[in-house]
Amino acid sequence: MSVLFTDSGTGSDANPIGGSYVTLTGIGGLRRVSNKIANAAGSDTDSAAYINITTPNDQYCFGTPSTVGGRDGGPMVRCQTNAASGMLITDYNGTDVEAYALVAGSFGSFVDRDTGTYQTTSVVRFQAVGTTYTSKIDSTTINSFTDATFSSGKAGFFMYDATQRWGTIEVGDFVTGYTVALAQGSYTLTGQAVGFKAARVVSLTSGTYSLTGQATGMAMNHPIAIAQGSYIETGQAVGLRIDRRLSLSAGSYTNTGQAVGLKHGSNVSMAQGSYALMGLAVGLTYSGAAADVITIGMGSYNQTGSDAAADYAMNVASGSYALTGNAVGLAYGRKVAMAQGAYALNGQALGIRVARTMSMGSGSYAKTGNDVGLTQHAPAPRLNLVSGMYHLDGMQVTLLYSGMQGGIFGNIPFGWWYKQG
Amino acid sequence: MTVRVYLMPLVEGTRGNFTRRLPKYLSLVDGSKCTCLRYGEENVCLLVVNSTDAQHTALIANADVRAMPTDLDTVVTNGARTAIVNALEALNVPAHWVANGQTFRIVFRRLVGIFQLFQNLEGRKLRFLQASLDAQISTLPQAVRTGMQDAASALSLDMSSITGTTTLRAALATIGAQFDSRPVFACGISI
Repeated sequence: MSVLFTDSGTGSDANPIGGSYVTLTGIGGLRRVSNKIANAAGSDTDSAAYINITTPNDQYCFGTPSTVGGRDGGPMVRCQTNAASGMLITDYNGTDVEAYALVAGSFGSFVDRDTGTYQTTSVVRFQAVGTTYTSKIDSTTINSFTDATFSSGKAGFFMYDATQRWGTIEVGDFVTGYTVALAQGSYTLTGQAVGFKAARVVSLTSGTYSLTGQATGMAMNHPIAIAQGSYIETGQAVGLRIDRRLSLSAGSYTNTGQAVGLKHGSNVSMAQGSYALMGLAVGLTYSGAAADVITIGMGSYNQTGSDAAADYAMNVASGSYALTGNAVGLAYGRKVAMAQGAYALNGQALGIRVARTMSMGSGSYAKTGNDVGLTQHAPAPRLNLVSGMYHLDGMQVTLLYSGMQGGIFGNIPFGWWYKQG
Repeated sequence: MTVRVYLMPLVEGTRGNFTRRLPKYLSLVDGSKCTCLRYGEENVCLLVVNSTDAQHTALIANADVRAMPTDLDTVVTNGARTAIVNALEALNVPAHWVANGQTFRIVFRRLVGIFQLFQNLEGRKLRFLQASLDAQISTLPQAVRTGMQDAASALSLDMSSITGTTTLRAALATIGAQFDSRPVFACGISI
């Protein structure tokens, strides 16, 4: 629930009040008199105004009568801006609170009646949620009824008799800041989504999700579980930040354009599927403890452009892996275990550095272009190449290891070795 | 005190300081909780009253007042169906959909559903019943057809089966049927 507007009543005398108060078309407005809200004139007359602020369909308005007078007046909800229309309550007989649907100012249609009386210092509240209207005096529910005359509009106030005075007017909504649960379906967000903030859990079930344009401040501070489906993010996603865990199950994930701050504070588990990263993927890092692991299951992985360092263990299962363009700093602090499959490295592969063990299972390995720094450093210097075809084209610089232990290149089994260039 | 549902006319009357549209016999239930569910701008309403037995007797003494059974889970039977249909159709409320075996609760909710559509049109300053219930939707003024779609959207109604050749009568029955599981709040309770 959010408070959208308050008025303590205090202010210079004004007729009409003006500012946020807009008179309902065709009837008198409201005055500010001696730091209270009053009707349009010093005599009994229809008077009403709505509070001209952005107001959700589900809304409330309350006020406190400082002088009840004839009690013919009260808060309004869903006032229309182009006619003297809206829902109002009044306690004109001092015994019951009655609700009316005012349509184009011609007639008020009786809607509901229940026992209740305004008192000075009472908080008289009227609210609309869907087609359900409720009025309260302090915490006691008075009216509760269904009506569908108006689905939207602004909150306001109605007064008839000249002697009543109101202070402490408040308008609000029923928006909460908690769980957003998106069930299966298609979701399209276009344009600007400022302040789409889910402070708790966002659960996205299977479906199609398209985010285009700018999504500033889409901050989610807790787990995001993304189920199987297609997820497309295009354009700029500033601050799409996930500070905990991101679990991506099988599916297709496409990220194009700039994804600044796509940051994972802890584990990233990527199950079997297709992952395409194009353009700039700055900050695809994770800064967890040394034991953190990126596990990439079987599938096709296509990485183009630049990528930042992934400093921990990388297990690469059987599949097809294509690296094109720059792969700066694809550094492995620990181990790279590459299972059977086809591995193609094109272009420049600077700093593919395996500080420990590189185990390459049976398969085909094709490497073209520059391979500067394909090094294997001590300690634990071992390069195990099992039976298979190994084809090296282009410049082959510094296939070294700097250890001294147990032979030169470990075990190189019988096979065909062919070098060109 | 018992919550009861009555069908009665709406009339212009003085209430407080204004001429207002009121249930015709509202004065007979002074002092009792009540909720008026209007048929939009048409001069018909369902008045739900937490009435005394004496108030109930006074209300039903009027020929233009019809009362539903106190127990709304009572099932509609042949004779009751005929009376209901005749009473509603005479007021230009489509009632062909009322069937034996339905409960009065369902009848009430469907009527309220149809009334809600009319209320929402009223709020848009539109009115249906310049036309016959047997008129096809396509013959209604464009503003009314647009208003009907907007009202249906606002009330989360499925209009996909309603086409230009659908009669107004059939369209309203389709709409009413979508309220079977939507409770109505009246007299402070859920019906």
